[in-house]
Amino acid sequence: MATMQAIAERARAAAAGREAWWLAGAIAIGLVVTLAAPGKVVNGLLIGSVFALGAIGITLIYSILRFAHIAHGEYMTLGAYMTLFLLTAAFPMVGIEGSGLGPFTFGYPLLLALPIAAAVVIAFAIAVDFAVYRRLRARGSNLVMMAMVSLGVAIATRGLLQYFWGTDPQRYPRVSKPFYHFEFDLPLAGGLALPFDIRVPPDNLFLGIMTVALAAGLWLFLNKTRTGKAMRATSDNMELARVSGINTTRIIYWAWAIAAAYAALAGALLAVSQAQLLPHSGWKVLIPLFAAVTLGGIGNPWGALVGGLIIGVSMEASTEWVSPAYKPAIAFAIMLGALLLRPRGIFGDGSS
Amino acid sequence: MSILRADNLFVGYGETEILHGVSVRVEPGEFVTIIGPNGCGKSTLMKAVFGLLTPKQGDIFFDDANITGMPTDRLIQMGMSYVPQTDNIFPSLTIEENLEMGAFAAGGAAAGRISEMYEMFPDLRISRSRRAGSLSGGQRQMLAFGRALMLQPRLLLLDEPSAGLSPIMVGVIFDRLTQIRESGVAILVVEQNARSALAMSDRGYVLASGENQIEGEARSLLDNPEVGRLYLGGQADDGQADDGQAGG
Repeated sequence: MATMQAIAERARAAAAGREAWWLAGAIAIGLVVTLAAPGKVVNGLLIGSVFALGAIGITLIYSILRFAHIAHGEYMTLGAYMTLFLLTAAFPMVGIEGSGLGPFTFGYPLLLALPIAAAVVIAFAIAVDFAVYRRLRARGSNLVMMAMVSLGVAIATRGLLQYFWGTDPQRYPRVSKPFYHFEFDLPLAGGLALPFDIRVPPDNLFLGIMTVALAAGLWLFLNKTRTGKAMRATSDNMELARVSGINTTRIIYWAWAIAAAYAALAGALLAVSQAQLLPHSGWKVLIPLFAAVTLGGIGNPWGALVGGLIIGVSMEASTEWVSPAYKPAIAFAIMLGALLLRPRGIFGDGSS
Repeated sequence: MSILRADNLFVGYGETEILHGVSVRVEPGEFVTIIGPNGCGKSTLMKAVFGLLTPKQGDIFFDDANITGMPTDRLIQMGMSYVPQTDNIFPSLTIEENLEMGAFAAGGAAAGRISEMYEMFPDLRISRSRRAGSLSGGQRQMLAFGRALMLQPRLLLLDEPSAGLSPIMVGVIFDRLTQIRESGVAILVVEQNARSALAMSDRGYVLASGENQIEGEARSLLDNPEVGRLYLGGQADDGQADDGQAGG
């Protein structure tokens, strides 16, 4: 026992040493990139926060149901189109119209539409689980089968969206607004003052604020509420959760509800940020989403959050040097790198 | 009136039948041990009693109420609790949250009961806000007991509580079991450390090949030469943590 512990201790120490180097390297790269393209880093953080919202849902579903939910991008798109429907069709009928709220391109109707769209996607996600995933679980299907079926759900959902809204780009009612200006005068060694002139679309600031609020809400839910704690318990060990009297079926639906709501918000915010909406908008961010989940450590919501921000920054900052067309490739390269170098991710503990 | 009575249980996984007509009973406040070789169906019996497996045939009674096929959360509310052999804590939850989960079926706050658990297992109080995954094997087992005792069960089912522990920890765990039993909780335990377990039991069952072989007073089983030769023989040095992982 004693020698076992000594070996484990030494392995931990070695791993900690290696991790210190990784951290130092990551910080160095981050600094260089920030100095080279500060504005893109700031915007990357804000866009990355949308990836974070989507990735949180994927990782939450994985942590409870143990499969990669490929249809998550389409749940985002569904949320975005529901918001479109509310803003352009449903709300005007009852006289709710407007754009250009404060510095933003959108108006107050968006703030009303977001929770309704989230509720619709929650209902959709729970209905799909009831009709599809639940039956496969009952049959004991493996994770490959579940992932493939979720690919089918993705294609079917996209087909449904195309049926109703066609394949032309759609947009929310908006007015153009000037960029926000951040100016920093950072004194550096030798008395040199390096001015940063960072321009941020105000809408992206809104994404950042929403993500901070939603992440804080998730933290409170998971750590301070009975159901949230039971969700973490179920993620740890579903059999023991059942043995403890936790209704794990209810927990599964809670997980779908949170994942779907966050996906809907992420999808709508993505449409705001990109200023247009297509049936494959969500599908196109699936690689960044899975890169964020993998990088952060699958099953860990805080990992998904940090992973989303890193992926967002990397993709935006890369445009300083390479064509924006390579953005998905950057995300994919980071995902591959994470899988090769640290498969359990930044926050993974190796147990899942 | 027995607190638990399982009559002629036939249980299996899919096509494979593990138990071919097993019967056990536990009286209120009684300590009953089930021993038997690996793969004889001890863990399967526990899972069937706790509603995790549905018997193909046979009935289970708790306080004379038929609980066959009843969902687990109902059983917990009725006063039954179960500690699985492995993975019996939530590693990423804190100690305190683990105990809270033990009271989940009751719904309400359990602060008073948690401090009672800390009195029974002082080690846990010290590390109450640490992640349970950081605990040692013995402490984990204490926490698993604590979680199972949160709702003051009248019957505690334990699957190999000493598996994988050091000889000293096995002694500590058995002391705790005696203490739990003295508080009036009936205990049904499956054990590899057969001799030590029987020594503190009221009655015992020997299970082999999914059938009852021998049952009786714990003392008489310990003195039974056949039981000694077949099931206690290899266990002369009880303290050795034996290969409990393969049990049941």
